[in-house]
Amino acid sequence: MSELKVNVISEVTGANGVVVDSVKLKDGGIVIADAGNIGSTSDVDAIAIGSDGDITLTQDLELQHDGAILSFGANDEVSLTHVHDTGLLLNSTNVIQFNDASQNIGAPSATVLDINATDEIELNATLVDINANVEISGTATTTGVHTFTAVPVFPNNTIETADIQADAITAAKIADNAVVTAGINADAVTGAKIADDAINSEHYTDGSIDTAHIADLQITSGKIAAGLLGGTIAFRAHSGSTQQAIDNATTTQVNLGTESFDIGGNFANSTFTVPSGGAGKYVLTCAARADASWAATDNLIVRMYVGANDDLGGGASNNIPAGHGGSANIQTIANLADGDTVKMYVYHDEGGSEQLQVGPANTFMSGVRVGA
Amino acid sequence: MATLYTKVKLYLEANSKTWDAEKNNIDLRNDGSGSYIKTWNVSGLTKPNDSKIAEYDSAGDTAETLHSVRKTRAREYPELKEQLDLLYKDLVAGKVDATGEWAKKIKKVKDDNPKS
Repeated sequence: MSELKVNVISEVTGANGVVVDSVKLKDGGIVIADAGNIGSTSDVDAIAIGSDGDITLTQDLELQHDGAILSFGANDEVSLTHVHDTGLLLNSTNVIQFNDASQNIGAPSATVLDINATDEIELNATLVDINANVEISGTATTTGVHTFTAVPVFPNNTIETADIQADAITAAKIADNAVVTAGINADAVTGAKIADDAINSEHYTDGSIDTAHIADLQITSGKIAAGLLGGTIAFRAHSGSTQQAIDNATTTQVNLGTESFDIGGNFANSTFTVPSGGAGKYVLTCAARADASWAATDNLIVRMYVGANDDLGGGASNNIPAGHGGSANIQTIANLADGDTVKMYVYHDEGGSEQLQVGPANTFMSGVRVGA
Repeated sequence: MATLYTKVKLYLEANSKTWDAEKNNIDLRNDGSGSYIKTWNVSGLTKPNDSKIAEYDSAGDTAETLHSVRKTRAREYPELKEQLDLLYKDLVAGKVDATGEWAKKIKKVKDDNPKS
């Protein structure tokens, strides 16, 4: 059929109205009556256009070309653009708001995404994996356990002893020399924070422990070097089985060949020598007894020579009656230095070369260190 | 051999000095290896050397032997009160001579311990 030109197709009374295979409009548009529909044979009301212009779709809306844009606003200032094989792009710094204008997601720049909420952003999942550095400007509260794969770094003075459980930090957790005194507040380390045997001599400086920090009875003798305490150096020696002849008027060193005891091993060759570290006050005793064969003697003198220069440490004289074997003895306290020696000498003016009685009860020398 | 003391004493006496007068000026010492003169402060007399000391070996031996005899005699003589008692008894008996008990006891000690 050739072209049919009709000015007006008026409504007729009939059940099917006007049926046309296709319609091509030459000019103007199609005007649908208020509350009218546009549809297909199978869905005659797929598109409904209200009297206010609202369009209602009863089926899907498909924008089937790449880069399709849905624009919003009187000047299209908000748009959603299809990105091929990727998704949708909200333009510019516009945001998607949820429930309230203050709850929104948007991008203030091409590299920053903001998620904003007034009170709370709740993430519900078994795992939140954050592949970025995290800055928390507020307070963080963790119910579970923080597990670090690297060593956490805390600002100075941010961890207080009240935040550390008793015995929580063992020596194994602290590298040698890792804790410096500048990082510890005064009195911040209490005894409860230090495990047994955790501190050895490498961890304190000389002179840093005063007596106020040593409990009673905590220092045993095994912790004290030999010679520092009284009684740790002591000796007693006496003349042996052979009587020693002492020439008249001759100050003679007494041969003390037999030791009763020698704690510290500092007595040898009839001479006591103060060991290194053994300087201090010593109680020293010397005694000599004349043989009963002596004639009457004005002076039996026992002398003690001490020190590096054999200074006279003391002497005692006694008058000896003939045939009685009298004795003389001396006891003194001497202040001796390391390396000083102590020797016992005897002098008499009996007239001849006379002998001393032997044995531990007659002619002997003894000494004991009593203090520094 | 005579002691150093005895020889020094003889050396002093040979030079018109005495031990008693000079003993505080002399210090004889024996540190276990023999006697020696540690200090010598005798005015007008030099410290004797070893050879000078050795010159008095013989005289020193004699002096010490004599000292030993005197010492033995002194020990063996009766005590003084006992001797006085003997003398009193001899006096009463008219035997204050070589026949008396006191004289006999003293003689025995001397004879038992001769000086040479």
